[in-house]
Amino acid sequence: MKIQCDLCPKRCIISPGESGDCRIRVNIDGRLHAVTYGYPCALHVDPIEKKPLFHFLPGTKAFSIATAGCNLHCRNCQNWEISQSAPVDVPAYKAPPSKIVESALKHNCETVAYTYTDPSAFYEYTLDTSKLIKKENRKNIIVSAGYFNPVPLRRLCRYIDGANIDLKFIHDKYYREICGGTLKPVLDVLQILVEEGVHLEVTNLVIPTLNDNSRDIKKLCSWIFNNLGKNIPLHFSRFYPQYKMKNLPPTSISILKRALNIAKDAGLEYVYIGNVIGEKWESTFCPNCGRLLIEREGYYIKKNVVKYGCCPYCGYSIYGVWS
Amino acid sequence: MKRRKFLKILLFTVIGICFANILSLAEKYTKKTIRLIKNNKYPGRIKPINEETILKEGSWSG
Repeated sequence: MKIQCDLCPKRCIISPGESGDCRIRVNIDGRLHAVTYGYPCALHVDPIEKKPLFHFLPGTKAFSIATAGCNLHCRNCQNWEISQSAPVDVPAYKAPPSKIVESALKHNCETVAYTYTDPSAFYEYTLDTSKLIKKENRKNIIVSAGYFNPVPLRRLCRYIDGANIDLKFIHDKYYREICGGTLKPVLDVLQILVEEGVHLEVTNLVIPTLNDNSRDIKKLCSWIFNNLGKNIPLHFSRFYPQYKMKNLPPTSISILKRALNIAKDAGLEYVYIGNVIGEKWESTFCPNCGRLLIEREGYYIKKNVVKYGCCPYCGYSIYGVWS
Repeated sequence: MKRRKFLKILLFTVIGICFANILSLAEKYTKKTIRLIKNNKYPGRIKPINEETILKEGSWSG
């Protein structure tokens, strides 16, 4: 019997003995099995700034997990060795949700991050682990391309505190050509996360010749401003040639700075440049008085003067989760 | 003439072996995977958890 998977917008119809497009869900005897449940291929203690989440408990550690497989197939994927491989080809640890909780507590991690590949693909594992983490009064964050269907996403939102969603392009054409997905579900996911009160930050990887023109950047920023709010942090990330997109050069710093200025002009309050070390635009400034609030160098915090979620100089409320 | 015929047979034999290998691998992969999943086991290799590796910041992006 064939089964349709309702987890992501691809809605794969899976024949017996076959897996969906994510390679994680397999139809066995008319039931879907999540092959990677309890078997992460990556376990690491990362600074939360690496996700990147700049307004979510700055300076804390995130216990980061991922399993093999992904429901998108981006030609520029930075983690393609694990995301674009079948679980059978990727060595994994045996770590059921209870083991993840135990390890996160042992390593004094404030949060567990479901990251590297995509939690929308290893959904069941994410959901069960996040339930246990909440019981321990810790927080859960997802780092995702946002390719979920609304029903499973809303169920997950009960346990998720923060999210960094990769809004890769503002054109459906590029989503189809580069990632094997579509744009609309990602935009819906961003709006649902805001509706559900999940702390949200957005990342946009700026790829030369694809999405680095001013018109597209302006369109993306305006969409965020109009639909999510001016206080949602936006990270412009630098592209490096990877996987099936080695023909393009790394993004130049001047393009990233131009993107940042466009975002500021569009009214966004917190705009950052990522994948570039030593730029002052990794730091947080008060949108009201312009004073430096959080000084970062790479993933590390050199100074943080935010008090009770406000600017200590002018009292302006700074968007984020601070305690 | 004989040499040409021999080379032709050799070429088809090599192609045939490659094709058969691909087919048999695909079949084995599916059967093996299904058997393991049915037994709630991971179909790939299991590596031991190493605390030192965990403490190192992940080399993966995100």
